[in-house]
Amino acid sequence: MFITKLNSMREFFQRKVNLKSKSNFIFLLFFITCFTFAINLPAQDTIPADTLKSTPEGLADTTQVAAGDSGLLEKSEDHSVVSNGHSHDEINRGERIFMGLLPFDIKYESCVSCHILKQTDTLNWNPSARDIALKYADKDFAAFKQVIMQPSGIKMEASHKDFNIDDENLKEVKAYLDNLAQTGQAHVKPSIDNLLIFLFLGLLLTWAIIELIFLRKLKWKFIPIIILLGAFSWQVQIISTDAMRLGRQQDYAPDQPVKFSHKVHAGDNGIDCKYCHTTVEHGKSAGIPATNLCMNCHIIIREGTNSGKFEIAKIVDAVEKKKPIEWVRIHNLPEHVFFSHAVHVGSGKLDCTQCHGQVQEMDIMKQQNDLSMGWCVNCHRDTKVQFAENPYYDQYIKLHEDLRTGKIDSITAEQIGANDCMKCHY
Amino acid sequence: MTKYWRSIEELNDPVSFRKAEMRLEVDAKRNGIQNQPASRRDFLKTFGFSVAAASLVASCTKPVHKAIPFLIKPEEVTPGMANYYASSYFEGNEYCSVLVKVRDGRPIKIEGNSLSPVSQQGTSARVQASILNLYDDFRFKTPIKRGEATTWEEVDGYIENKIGQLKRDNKKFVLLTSTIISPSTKAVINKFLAEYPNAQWLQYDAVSATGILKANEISFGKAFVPDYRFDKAKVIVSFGADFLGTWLSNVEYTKGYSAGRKLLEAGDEMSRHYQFESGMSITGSNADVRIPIKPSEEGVLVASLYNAISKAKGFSSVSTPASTYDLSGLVTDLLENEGKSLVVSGSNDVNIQLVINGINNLLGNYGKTVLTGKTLNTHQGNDTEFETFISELKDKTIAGVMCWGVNPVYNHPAGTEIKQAFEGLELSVSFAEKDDETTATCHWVCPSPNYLESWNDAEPKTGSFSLAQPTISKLFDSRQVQESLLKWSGSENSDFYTYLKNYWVENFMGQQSEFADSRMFWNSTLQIGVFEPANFAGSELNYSENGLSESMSKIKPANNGWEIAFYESVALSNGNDANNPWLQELPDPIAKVSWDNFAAVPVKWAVENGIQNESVIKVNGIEMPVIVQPGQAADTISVALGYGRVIAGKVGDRVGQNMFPMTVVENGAKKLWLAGATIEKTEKTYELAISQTHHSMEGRPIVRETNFDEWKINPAAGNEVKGRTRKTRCYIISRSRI
Repeated sequence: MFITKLNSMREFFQRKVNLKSKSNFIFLLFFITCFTFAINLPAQDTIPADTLKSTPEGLADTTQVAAGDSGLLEKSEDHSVVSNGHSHDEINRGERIFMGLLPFDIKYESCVSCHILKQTDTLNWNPSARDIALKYADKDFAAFKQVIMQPSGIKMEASHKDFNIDDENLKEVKAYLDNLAQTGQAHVKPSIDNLLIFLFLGLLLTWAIIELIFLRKLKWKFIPIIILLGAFSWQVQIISTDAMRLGRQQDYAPDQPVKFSHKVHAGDNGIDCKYCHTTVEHGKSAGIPATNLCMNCHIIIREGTNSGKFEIAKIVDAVEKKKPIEWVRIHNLPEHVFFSHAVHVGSGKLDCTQCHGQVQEMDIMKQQNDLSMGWCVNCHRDTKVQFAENPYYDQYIKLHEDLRTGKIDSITAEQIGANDCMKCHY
Repeated sequence: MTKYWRSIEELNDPVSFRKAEMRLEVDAKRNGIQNQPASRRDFLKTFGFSVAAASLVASCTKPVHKAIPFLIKPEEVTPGMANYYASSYFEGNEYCSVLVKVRDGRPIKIEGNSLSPVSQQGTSARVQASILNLYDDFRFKTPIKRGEATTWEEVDGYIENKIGQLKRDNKKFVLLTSTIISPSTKAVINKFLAEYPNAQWLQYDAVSATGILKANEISFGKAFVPDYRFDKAKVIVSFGADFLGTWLSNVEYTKGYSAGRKLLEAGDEMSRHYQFESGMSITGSNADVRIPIKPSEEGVLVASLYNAISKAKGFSSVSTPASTYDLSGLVTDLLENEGKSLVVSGSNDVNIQLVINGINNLLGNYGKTVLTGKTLNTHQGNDTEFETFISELKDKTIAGVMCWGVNPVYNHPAGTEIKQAFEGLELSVSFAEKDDETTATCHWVCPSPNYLESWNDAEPKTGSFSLAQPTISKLFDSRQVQESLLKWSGSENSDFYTYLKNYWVENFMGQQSEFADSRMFWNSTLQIGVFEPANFAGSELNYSENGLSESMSKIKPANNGWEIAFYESVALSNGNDANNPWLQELPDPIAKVSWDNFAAVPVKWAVENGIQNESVIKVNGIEMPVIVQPGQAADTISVALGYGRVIAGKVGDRVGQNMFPMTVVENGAKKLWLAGATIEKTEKTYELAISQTHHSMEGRPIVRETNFDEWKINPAAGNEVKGRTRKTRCYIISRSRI
């Protein structure tokens, strides 16, 4: 009777569409539309430069970032010979020198091997090509040459030791960098592997249906049925995982404007979390420290072990030019949720690493937990609150009594109302 | 069990009222489902969802959130955490010392300042709503010259020139302000007047206390409003004074009144409160004994009371028209509590106030519950002087006017004449924050900032001082009036902050001994917000019976016929804040009507004439919607002032009817009631926003009440829950049988 059902479905469709052997045609048409869609999707690269610095999530899943093209510059629009005082030839030569493509018999490393052009996942302590370009865009060639050929910092001295690039080539590199500062970074397209898989499954699905109803070429019906069910359930799984991950940013580790490493500060140097994040015990937000707090140490310390002078110079520059540093915020809760650090750290006496992970081992700060409601609520059920000697909980007279008489031996956050809906969704 | 009812219909016929209510609800729901156009909620639901879906499909990237900290973080300021700054609110004759909650550089909430002995952490509706006035888009953004935006240089250039010219030609110009209680501002004004001897400073209040001022001038030799101590009074008698609502210093009086009636332990006593008034007010609803009277009967009653007390004490009595009420119980009560009683009147008639002074004197209240050493400074406007001003305007002896915080075109009965006169002036300047009827006639506007953006000080009662500080940088291009005046009187430094600080250090630092350093003194005083010099001793003045017998003879008998009583409503008071949507939305505490004023009519007359809520009647030719008010005195109608603005902003324009043109200035004082009114019925109705019948208790014992005698026997009286227990018990029993 399953077969009769399929037959009746087929007849229904054929009657409705009023053609018999056009089923092949329909199939082909559908195939073509899917393919054109799949091919045109990568052309949606209208992504502004600074979203590249954060990993986007969604169907176009991007656990790896750079899948784009070779990062060649876009030529300036008006196609003039001279742009910004430099000719196109100069800029192109500079680019090739930067990437170590010529001259051929050089003994030193190419610039790009330390000063990267494309974004990568791993931490590179050296300033990227764009960082350098931006910093020296308004400085003249003499200053640029001075820094490269006679560096003052320890790290730079070591790495720039055997440079013997001549002035003309250096000028071309500067021309390239000036252009880079203006034109910005190459667009990095998001990876669409997941999307392609999803579409491919859709195709399989469609083929299976059409095979079952119209074509009936295969003898064993269970093959298209299994493919149908398998493809569909995989699609559902992709959708549901991505839906649940919607709005969450676990493992989000964006590039920050200054290469600040918690490992160096909190780990190697042992600075306490609360030294910088001062408002954590009294306010809703722990607070990213103001630049004058950085200057407490960095007014003296101008050279870092890993990053040399470049990064610290950025904060000194910010204070001098009176431009606050625009950090990229990592832990974002949706607008409808109320979260207060004061309750958790100030009263609940939680340790920072319990929610934020082992920050003192992170060079690039990342979001350790998904901060979903389920995660919060579970912790409220399990975590024991420090009840004794905590003036915040003095009002819970009955709970104190029960503790004293031994009726209960510990209090979880849930018992003092942490899982009341109104506490967070008021 | 006491019966509570939400409207007269419910009182008369509760069953059918509730049926009608339920029918209304069902109809509303049915209509809502069927032919209601898509509500805002539905729109947001669909819109929100489709935007989310569309953005998801379109971009697949989440927006990047930036966190930008301070470059140099001030120690006390943390983003997201609020700081509280002490300031003073004084607008429209109402004073409160306040704490302003400021978060991220923006004031967001006003609270009362607990350190103030005057307002004692209290605020009123207008004070709370004043936070919104700061963010009012209708405010002037720049100085204005004849309707066009201009600059301060142009303004200063012209005005300095002009007043210099007026000085040379010896032509008079008037600085017309509302009551100014700021000692430093008074110093600035005096400096200005010294520089320009042809200028006059006149204070004008929309609803003044001229009666009290003039009466005290006759009785004590000085025009002032005394300090009424409601907390010290065991018997309080009020003739039409809504002291818990809008009379003089209502926040202070509420605190005093409630202190006198607070029962915490056995042995506490409550004061007894008698209220004589026409329309139901908050004060009247709190009174122990309330007698509805017509406004014209007030004089007669007051005189009879004086005579009764005078006779009981063995003095002679003056002949007055007979009163219809038996005051013997009241007289006995008052005589038993001599020195601990308080008799007040809200009338602006100097004769009535003189008799009230006489009564208080006979009862020995002066120096005990009515203090003359400490005066209330919030109402200094004198209507007689303003009448002189109007006649001078019409005679064209005044060449220029500078208006600050006044709106006589709106709130004076001769408003249209004033407007015409203003238009013909050589110089007309307004210092208003936002446009209003008077400012619209002025050629130059020098906008002043909101009080939350200004430096100021205040002396609401002699010997109690407070400061006001800015809680946000000036939002628009405005300049404090004091700075304008300083500049025009030729000071090199017209910064009012420096002036204020120096004034305080010079004048007040010597009156305290805690701080020897001027900076510490200033910072500490500014932080606390209030200052009371230790060695302030106001001496009581001597009462004299001047003019008492004359005024008694001037008391006229009560009129027949309809009378209209005007009152300031709790929400809008004199109408300055008409553009404040919170105040317009605030239901009147008694009638529960928002957004309109109405005529409150007596129940008996309404029933006899088939008038209900929302019917329209013509009151002296003006059509007003009706509220049937239990407690309204027979043959009286009460209407609120402060409505009917025409230039207030998009919220306040044309809401309600302006009743100020119907007030009259009689005997040099603005009379707030009208005799011989004509009332006509019409067949129209007008929809009012009434929330009177909302919030049913649904049979639950939410409101509990008891009275003083029962409380004395049992302090837990009234808490017995007599809801539906009987029925519940039966239910349980029948259940267990099964």
